[in-house]
Amino acid sequence: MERIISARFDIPNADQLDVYLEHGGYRALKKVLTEMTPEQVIEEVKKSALRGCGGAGFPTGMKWGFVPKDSPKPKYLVCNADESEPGTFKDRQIMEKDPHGLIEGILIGAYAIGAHLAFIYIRGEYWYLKEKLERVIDEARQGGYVGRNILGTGFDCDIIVHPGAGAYICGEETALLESLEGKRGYPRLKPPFPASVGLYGCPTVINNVETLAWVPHIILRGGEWFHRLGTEKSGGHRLYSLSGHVVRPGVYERPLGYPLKRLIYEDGGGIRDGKRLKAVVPGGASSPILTAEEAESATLDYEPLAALGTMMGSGAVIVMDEDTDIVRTTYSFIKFFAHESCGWCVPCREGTRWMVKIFERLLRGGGTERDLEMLVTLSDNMFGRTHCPLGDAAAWAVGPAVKKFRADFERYLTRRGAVAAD
Amino acid sequence: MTEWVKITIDGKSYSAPRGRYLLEVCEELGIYVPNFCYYYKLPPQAACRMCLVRIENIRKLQTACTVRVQDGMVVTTNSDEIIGARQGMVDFILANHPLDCPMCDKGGECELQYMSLTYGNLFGRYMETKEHRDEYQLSPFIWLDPQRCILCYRCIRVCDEWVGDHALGVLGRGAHSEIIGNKRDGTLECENCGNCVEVCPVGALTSANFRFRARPWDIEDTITTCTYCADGCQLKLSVRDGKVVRAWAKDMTGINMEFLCLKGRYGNEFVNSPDRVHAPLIRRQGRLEQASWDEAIGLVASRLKEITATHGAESIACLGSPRLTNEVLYVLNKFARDVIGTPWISHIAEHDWRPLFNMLTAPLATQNDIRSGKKTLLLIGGNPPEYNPLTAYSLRYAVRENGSRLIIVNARPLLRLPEESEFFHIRPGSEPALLLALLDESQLNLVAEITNLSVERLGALRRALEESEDLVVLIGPEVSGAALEAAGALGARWATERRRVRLLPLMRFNNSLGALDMGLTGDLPAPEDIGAHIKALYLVGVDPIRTYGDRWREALARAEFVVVHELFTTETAEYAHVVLPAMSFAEIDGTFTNNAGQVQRVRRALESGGERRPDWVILRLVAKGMGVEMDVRGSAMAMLKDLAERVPGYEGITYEQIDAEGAVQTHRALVKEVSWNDLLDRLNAQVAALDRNRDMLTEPPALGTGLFERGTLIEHVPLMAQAFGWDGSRSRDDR
Repeated sequence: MERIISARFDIPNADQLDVYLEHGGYRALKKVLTEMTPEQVIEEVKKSALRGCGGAGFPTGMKWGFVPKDSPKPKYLVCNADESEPGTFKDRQIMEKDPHGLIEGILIGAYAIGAHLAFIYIRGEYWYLKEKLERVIDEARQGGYVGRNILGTGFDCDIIVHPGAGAYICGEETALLESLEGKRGYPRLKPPFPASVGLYGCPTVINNVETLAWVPHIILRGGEWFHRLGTEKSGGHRLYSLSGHVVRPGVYERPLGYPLKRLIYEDGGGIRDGKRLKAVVPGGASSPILTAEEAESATLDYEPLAALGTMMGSGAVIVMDEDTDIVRTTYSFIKFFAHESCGWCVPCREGTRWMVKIFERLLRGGGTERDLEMLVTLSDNMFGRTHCPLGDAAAWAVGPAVKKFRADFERYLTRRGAVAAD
Repeated sequence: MTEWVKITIDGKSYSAPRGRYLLEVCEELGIYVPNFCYYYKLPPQAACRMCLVRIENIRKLQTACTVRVQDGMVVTTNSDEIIGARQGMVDFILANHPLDCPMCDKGGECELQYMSLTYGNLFGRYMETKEHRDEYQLSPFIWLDPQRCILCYRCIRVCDEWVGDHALGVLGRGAHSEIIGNKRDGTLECENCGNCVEVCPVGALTSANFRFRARPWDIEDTITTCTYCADGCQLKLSVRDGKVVRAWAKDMTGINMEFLCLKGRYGNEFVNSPDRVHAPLIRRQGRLEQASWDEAIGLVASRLKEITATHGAESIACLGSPRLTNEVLYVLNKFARDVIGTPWISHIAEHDWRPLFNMLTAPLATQNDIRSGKKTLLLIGGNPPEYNPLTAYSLRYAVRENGSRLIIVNARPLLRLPEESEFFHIRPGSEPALLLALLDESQLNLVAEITNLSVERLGALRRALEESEDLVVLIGPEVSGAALEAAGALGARWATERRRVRLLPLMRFNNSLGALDMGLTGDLPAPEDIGAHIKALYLVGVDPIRTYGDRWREALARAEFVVVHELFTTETAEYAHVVLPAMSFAEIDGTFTNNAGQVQRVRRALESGGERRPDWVILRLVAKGMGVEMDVRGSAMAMLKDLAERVPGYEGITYEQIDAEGAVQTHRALVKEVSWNDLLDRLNAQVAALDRNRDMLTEPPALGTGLFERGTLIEHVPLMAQAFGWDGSRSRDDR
């Protein structure tokens, strides 16, 4: 299989402009600026069936198409580099190894939607990448790829890197916008959607790092080519973050529709220490857990995973072996969501705290049958009723785990005071 | 034009205005959808998730407070799914909420209590420990119990939108989120209006004066009119055991909707003060001593008669307070003019507004005029957030809800008015010149020099008025004399067939306009006159020493006889020969006329203790002592009837009408013909005398300039005295 987005990952110094140019860099940008209209760019991306790689999987071309062309307001492109979904570490690879690829994608996206200013909102913990990206942008600016009159075509676009302050919720696109505006990171009411009322009240597109990094490839080789790499509804390849109890964890570029089993056993080298598989979280902490049996037949694509009651998410596959205590892994997830809940709406704020407390009691050995029912009830009461998807994610991390791995939970009902909660 | 669409709710068809929030549509149709964080005319939050409903063809339940009605929408508000969702939400809210309702100050009027009763589960399902958080004081007036807070963000929104103070926010994340004040230590630095307390659905925010002092079911509420500024807010006075325990405005539809300011909300407990004068006092050997009514009235009547006999009736001056009711002022005017027969009848005022009303060419603007429809609002001088808080509220409302254009002309930048307003920064004292620019386009060069605005800016200001279709001009007390006449003439100058003009004088006291209307329009005696040709002073509720300063101290000392009707022994009372104990606004019936010319009710909320009497009863007794039976009927209600027959503009106003309409507009005759040459001559003369070299002021007036000002009534409110460090001795700096 040909590696595309990760092709430059192994080339030494591909983060430097000259090396990037040697390996085909900024050709797509030149093509776009000299040969294509913004409409043609959007059309090409639509044809590619590229879907957002941040988690929600919204078709990118369609998102770009929503930006009103006749609005007199400035438009903005925001690159969501707040990679915080537990288990996800693919955007980091792009920003570390092929940052110019991201910059090129951002510039093409900006051109397509008519933006002259783009932001990279990067998670605070990636401070070293912020510095790197700023260097890279400077380098690109000196090369005439960023700033005024790019490549002499009259197109202006600057890029500003802005760090978050460590809140998971700021990866949600509207909370991100609030944070970028200098406010508290609360998700906004939708509608209006950012495409019409976004950053500073202006039309805004927010795309994930990987999504934007795919764009130059689509421009150079065509939307149809990209579409054919994947499945009918979802084009191309994805970067999968494989972690957990596998022999070779890491970032793998594989097509959409790729069997989960192959990723774990062929690419990941199977389960560590010859153990058996117990469970897989296929799309980051927000996606419901799969049993080994379910994982057997799962393919990494939006619709098939949805049919299994879970989701593609950010492509973060977390593998758990037979020794894993699902109570403790679930506790770890719900503690994360309780910590990261922004507190705006009742069910998420109160529900996550409540669940954490039940888990802590379970782990102390004070649990009853009723608590397990309560966890399911609480996740039902949260799911689909919160202000933003964080609450759904928290509910999804708990409800299915209790249902599918009830035996793990029941062990705690009889163990009294055995394990102290950490 | 409102477009009506067909929607289906719970199987029934309705038509609803397109684009309205579904929750509001349901409410109007009588279909109750429970909610906490929704609040009328505040930005929707979708935070409490109580108003979840099912809309056909949408996967998830939707919050009715954020969904806008569309044609063909099919809504379910009542199904097992919805009921389950609501129960789930109440469970969540109650999880960490204390369940000690009997101990909570909100018990009995708590929205969460109602909601739990109606939509909650019979049994609590939360078995975990609750995280206790201590309550603490956010300000001298406001307490916060963070554990009771359900984070509906109403308080933050009213602070932002109603008050413009932006003093509240959220600290912490997730379950650690907490409402917090704007100071470094999390407490509040704000105007302390307490609107946040009023809208709090639970017992999280409470008022220092009311908390744990009463239960909602053992207080009696009376709707009355505020006794502070001239805007005339309607408030509910809650009385328990013969004491005022709080003032509030929730769920009312008076001219102030639900808004009150610091003074209106927390300034009423002077009524309960133990320092109130409770019996007549007569000066004997230099000291005020308690006396009987008969003795006191007899003394006053005989001394007034003696002085009339020796020096003539013109040697007696009567002064009334612009805080008194129309009925009292009406009787006082009659008393002065008919019983004593003196032309010296006037009222104490911070500003002489007579020129405006003498030259009034446009109707007065009500709060509703400001708030309804898109218009241009021109504020010349004044500081509404400090001196006319309801007007400031209405200005913010007009800009926010209707996109009205607010133009501020002031010598200083004002705080707490919308950012969207246009600011014309003028030299202090140059307001009259600005009015000249509005009346006479040929004088822009001169006006530019005096006001320090460029000719272009003055042109822009005039253009703004030309572009306006509905213009309200708000006139501050910086505008005086001929300029005030000019302001009155703005209607004649600017009103056209397609442009309506209305005026609002930013008067100071609750019945400033009533005092003018009731005929207390004589000139105020100068302090030098007293002891000279004025021998006696009859003072009803006024303290000229406090209002006008020490020159009056000597003047009063020179007077042969001074009578005071008072609530407290003021400095002026200390010079009085007789002090007669009066009743406060909370203890009598009557009416006030606000700065928009609206007559509103003052209702007796409690019995007055001691031997106090209403001022009009005292006046009648004094007249009787002097041998004159006043033609005044025996109740405030009957007096309004008499007054309505005799005072121009008040024709036909009755209690029934006020009770039905809330505020009844007086009919003010407008000046038809303005003699422009004369007016402009007077105005030019005033402008020519202005100081053109005064330095520009760049600092906004401090927070509390007007609101935290010490006054005769408010200094007797314990909470105020405590909050602002007023001790027993009266300060001289706050006149």
